[in-house]
Amino acid sequence: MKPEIANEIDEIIQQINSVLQSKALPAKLAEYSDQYPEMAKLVERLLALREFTFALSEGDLSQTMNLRGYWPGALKALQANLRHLTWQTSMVAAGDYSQRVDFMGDFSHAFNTMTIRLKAATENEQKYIAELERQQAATRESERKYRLIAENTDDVIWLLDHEMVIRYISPSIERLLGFTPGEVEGKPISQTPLPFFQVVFQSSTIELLTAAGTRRPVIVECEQRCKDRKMIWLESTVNAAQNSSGEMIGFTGVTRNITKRKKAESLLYQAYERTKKRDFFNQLAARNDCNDTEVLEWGWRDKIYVPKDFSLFFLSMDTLPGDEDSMYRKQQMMDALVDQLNRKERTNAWETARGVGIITPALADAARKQKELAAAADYMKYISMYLPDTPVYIGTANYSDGWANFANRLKNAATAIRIGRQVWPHQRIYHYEDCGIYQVLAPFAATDEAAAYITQRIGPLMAHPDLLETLEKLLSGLSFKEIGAQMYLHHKTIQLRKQRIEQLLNVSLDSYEVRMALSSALQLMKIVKAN
Amino acid sequence: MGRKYEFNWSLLGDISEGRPNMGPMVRTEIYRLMQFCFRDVLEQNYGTETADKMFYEAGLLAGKQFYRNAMQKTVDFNAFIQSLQSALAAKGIGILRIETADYEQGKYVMSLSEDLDCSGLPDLDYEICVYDEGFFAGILESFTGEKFKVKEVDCWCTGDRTCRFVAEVSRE
Ligand SMILES: [Zn+2]
Repeated sequence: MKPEIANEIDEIIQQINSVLQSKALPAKLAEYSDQYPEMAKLVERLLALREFTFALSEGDLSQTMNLRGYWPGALKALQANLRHLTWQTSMVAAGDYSQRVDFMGDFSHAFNTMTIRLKAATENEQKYIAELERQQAATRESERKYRLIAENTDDVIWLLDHEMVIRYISPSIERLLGFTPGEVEGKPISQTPLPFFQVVFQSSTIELLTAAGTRRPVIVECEQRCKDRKMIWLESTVNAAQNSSGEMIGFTGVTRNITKRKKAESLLYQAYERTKKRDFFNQLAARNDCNDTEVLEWGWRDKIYVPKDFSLFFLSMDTLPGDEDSMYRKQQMMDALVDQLNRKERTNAWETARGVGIITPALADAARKQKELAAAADYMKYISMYLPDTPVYIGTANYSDGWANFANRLKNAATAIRIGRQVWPHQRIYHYEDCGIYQVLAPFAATDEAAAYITQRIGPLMAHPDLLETLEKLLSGLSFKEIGAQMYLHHKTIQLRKQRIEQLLNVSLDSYEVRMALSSALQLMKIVKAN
Repeated sequence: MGRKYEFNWSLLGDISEGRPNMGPMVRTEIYRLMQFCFRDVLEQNYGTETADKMFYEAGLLAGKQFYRNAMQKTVDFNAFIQSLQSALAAKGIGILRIETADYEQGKYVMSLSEDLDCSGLPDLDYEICVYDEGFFAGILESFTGEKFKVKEVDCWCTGDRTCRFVAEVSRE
């Protein structure tokens, strides 16, 4: 080969090499291309391959290359794969995680792992979102339920934070106390118009609630004034409130109106006290040999505190006999009366079969009887304020030290009324010690002999009330004239009546013995009538 | 006289019964032996253009029948492509890849690697997969209900390592 030709071949090879190696094209390339058409074709193809490869390296998959053959074919296969991957990736981006790459070696594995992971992650995320939504729905539902309860119950539900600021109070507070939630929410308990909160949160309550390990509610009862000035009883159940990690965050509570319950409790307590006293005194009234020490001891045992020496009264009322309903009302009235009397200082009162017994401490001093009558008048006044339309009578018992004669004294107090109403019909208060001879006659009046005696002595006069009245006046030692003046009759009439009485009874009124016998019969008759 | 060769999928017969020992597989060169001999005879009798036309139409018929008998029915396009991909891979026809998809224009570029018809053929300087063109057109028409024109733009025979097809809705 000629050296010039060898040189030229070398040069051409270098020129072609530079197409592969440097970006800029050598100046002489055009010259050779013009000279050798086949070389021009080669260069053109190389440049086309360069351009296509450069576009691929830049990520430009849109180029087309018209060259055919092995090398261009391999590049086009690469372009086809990359285009397919682009399409697959856009499918993945649109949420189609079923895309898989096959026949691309390690890349297939990496891509497929990615889509599997993405699918799993998306599914997890969807599960998480679904769970979150479920929980939110559950929370909303439970919130709605709690709100429904809080807003529709009569109980007041409230929540305090650890600084004792009211964070929530249910609208029922307005029904309960008249204050609206707006008047109290956001305020510390000491600055609200609800002092019961301060009673509820005494230091002892807080100690109980915050003591380690205790989760028991504390119940506090107290009275509170409503906005309309009415006082009502409240019961509050308080719990320490904890967050999910067990920290104390404040207090929750429920407050309700227990006024009715309190009233019922009080009525029950009064009824219990009343029954206890009634049984105690009525048992004593059934005995004749009460021993002071015994009585005081029994009293202590039942928490009935009685004095050793006392004045004893008996109280009776004119009440209408009636049906069951009025019986019930009568009992109610009686219970109220007994409770009222027991509320009075130094007084024990109880219901007996025919009235009310009352004892009050007393001493056997000179003014004792006067004091007793004054006390009776005082009771009378006290009761008349309570029962203004019911006629009431008080009998005062005779006095004796201690409890030995309790049963008798109680009977005597009742007797004083019975006799007193006959003998002194215009009075309401009677003292047994004023009853004189009646004290002796009274026990006898209850016997059959008394009735027989009355019939025997004055029986024939029973059909003539005017003669009975005249007899009583004749026995009192008045003159005919005086009697006539009192009865608006002529004194001769009185004289005639005297003769008529003597005739009917077949006696002489001038005899002292006869006069005493008739007088006794008349007094007995009064007591028997009173019985 | 009626038709003698009217196609019907059942003409493929029951292979498991008929070839209990040989099975459903046959070597690719035997498939190609028949196809390239057909090509030769058709070209000699009717000329190149008509021979290609016949192959395209045979592919079109095959595509429609393949869609009807061998593919899972789907509703959206991506699922359809996946179904086609897996059917082609399962039957050993080739590896289908979608390069671009323009749903609005109805234009798709796809490639078929390790293609049954042409992979490994010598360089010939012209595309040869006319049957495949018809085949894709038949399948796309069956799925979309629209007529498609499919053209192979790169082929193993032209030196490419994959056959690339451009499918376009034919709105004539
Ligand atoms: Zn091909």
